[in-house]
Amino acid sequence: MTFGLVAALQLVAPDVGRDVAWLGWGRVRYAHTQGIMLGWLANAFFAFLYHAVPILTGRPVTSARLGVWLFALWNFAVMLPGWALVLAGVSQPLEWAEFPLVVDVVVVAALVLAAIQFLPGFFQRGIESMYVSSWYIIGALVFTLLSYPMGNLVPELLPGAAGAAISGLWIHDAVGLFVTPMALAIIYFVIPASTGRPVFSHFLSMLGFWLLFFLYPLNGTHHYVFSVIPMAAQLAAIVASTLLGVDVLIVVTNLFLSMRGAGVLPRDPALRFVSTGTVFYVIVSLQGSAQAQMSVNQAVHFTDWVIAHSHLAMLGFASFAAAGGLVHAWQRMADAPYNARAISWAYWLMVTGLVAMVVDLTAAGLVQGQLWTVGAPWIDSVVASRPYWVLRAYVGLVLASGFIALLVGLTTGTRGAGMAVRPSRTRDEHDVVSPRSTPVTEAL
Amino acid sequence: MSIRAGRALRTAYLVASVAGVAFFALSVTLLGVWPARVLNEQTRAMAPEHPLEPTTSERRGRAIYAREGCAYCHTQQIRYLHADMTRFGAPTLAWETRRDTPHLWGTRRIGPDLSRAGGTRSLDWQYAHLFAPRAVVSESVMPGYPSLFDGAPDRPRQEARDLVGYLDALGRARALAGPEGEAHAREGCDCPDDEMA
Repeated sequence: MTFGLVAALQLVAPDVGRDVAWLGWGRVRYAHTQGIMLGWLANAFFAFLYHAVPILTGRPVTSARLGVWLFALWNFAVMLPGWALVLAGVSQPLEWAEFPLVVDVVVVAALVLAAIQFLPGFFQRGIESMYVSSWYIIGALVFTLLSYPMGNLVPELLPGAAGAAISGLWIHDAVGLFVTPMALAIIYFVIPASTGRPVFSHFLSMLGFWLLFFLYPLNGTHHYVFSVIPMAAQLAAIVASTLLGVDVLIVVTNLFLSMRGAGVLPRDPALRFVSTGTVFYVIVSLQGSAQAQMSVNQAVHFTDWVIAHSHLAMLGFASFAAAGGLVHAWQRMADAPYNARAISWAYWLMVTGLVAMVVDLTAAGLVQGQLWTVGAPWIDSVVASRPYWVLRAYVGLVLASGFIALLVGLTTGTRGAGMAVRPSRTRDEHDVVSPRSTPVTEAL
Repeated sequence: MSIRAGRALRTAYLVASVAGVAFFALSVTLLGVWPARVLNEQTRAMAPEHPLEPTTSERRGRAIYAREGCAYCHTQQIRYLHADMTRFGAPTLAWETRRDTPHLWGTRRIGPDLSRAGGTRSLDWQYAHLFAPRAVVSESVMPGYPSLFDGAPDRPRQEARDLVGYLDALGRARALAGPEGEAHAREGCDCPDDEMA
């Protein structure tokens, strides 16, 4: 977050930090993407798994000691050295893969530990009675173990266009096979647990799950439309991107029907976060399908439109799901501090900041694309972007203060206060998502 | 749930799981391995026979370009689009980046594409611009890199020399291929004429 703010500020005031090599825009930008995906989202996901996995499997996670190791490895052997190395100039110039290979090795080791920690319980009861969140968690951990080494190592071996093709796959697998399934696991968990009703359709939830894992890996090449990468591969990725939009419609239809009656702004803050995250998910996915189309792609590719898109995905959809998951778990821990006012502030600041940023950057992207197409001098597109970049820095501040409010909400306040505000239901989460409820089989 | 239904469901899930992994493998094959083969063939058919290889200094310059994240604002990828080709030149062919490991294609343009940057500016311009971009282009938002210099734009350190050398070599191989090289590439390219414009 901080790195993002610094980068945004530097676009407005490019001389900030000019005499400090490690504060150079490029290096800060490297630290920003890795920080959001691995530092914030992955940590939040792991935290949520400690709440969800015991309920989904009906047994505790593998080992508390392993948990300490996983935490230490992830934060002190991945994030801290990763950031330090990137800022010191040891990095890979590959998007979503900026940490150097030495850190990547630790990431893969930590992901193996995470699989050992969270997955064995799912297979104890037989997969036929597994709830959809369990599937998403298994999918995310297994497929990230496949895609992470591919995206981080292969472009170091394959040159030029061939390496770029693999990078394109990873850019999309990072979002589609790690962040999206984890966020959906949280959303599918929080909705029934908060409303006290099972999801609308277990069949649709499983259909959405499998389509996602079939289609997402085939998306990546849409980052390089009109390039020298064979047109057949580009077209295959565009078709898959379009179909993925259909899949997302199936998933969100199911999610919204599961939330019916809760209102546009549910009173439970956890449900409010995930329902807003679901709205962002529809928008960002349909936008993704649209911008993969050649006609749209040539107008907006390389512009801030795409930056708006990625912020809507990572800070809109995924971060709102993660925040909802954390708030939900905090409401169920007797010894967790909980500050309801700060959490309410967090929601509104994050919504305001994010929506303003996405609208602002989307508009900036359209302006830039137009100026490039009409053949205006290059610098015109930079000059025209300036007001948008100024506004982006301000709303970035709002968004960041939302994240700080979330941190305050989960670390200050009376211990156990969350227990008091959680919605009282006749049926608790155990009844709607645990193996006892054997949900999918109702369709049979 | 009857036992039979449970068994059917379990089989279905197992099939789907295998299919899921297969689809991932398919994605890597279809969108990673197969394109790499096509690109290799294209490179063999279209590359000049003896292209000028980058010097050691230029290679070091490339590493600095990668380290500083230049690729996050400058692409090195001219697409087969009218707007790209009129502004930056002929679309990037596979053979031009065949030594680029890892690639520096980029996904965002805050500044212009640099695939053909070589020879478009004098070296003095490059040094002055790198040292203090706004002294040269007043509206620029590019960060300055004074840490590559000894306090003044006319006193570049080795790192600045390497980087400027690299920038000045971008597009050189394609330019040196000349009309003969373009003709050779055209011959090897299985594409309609306008795609090579």
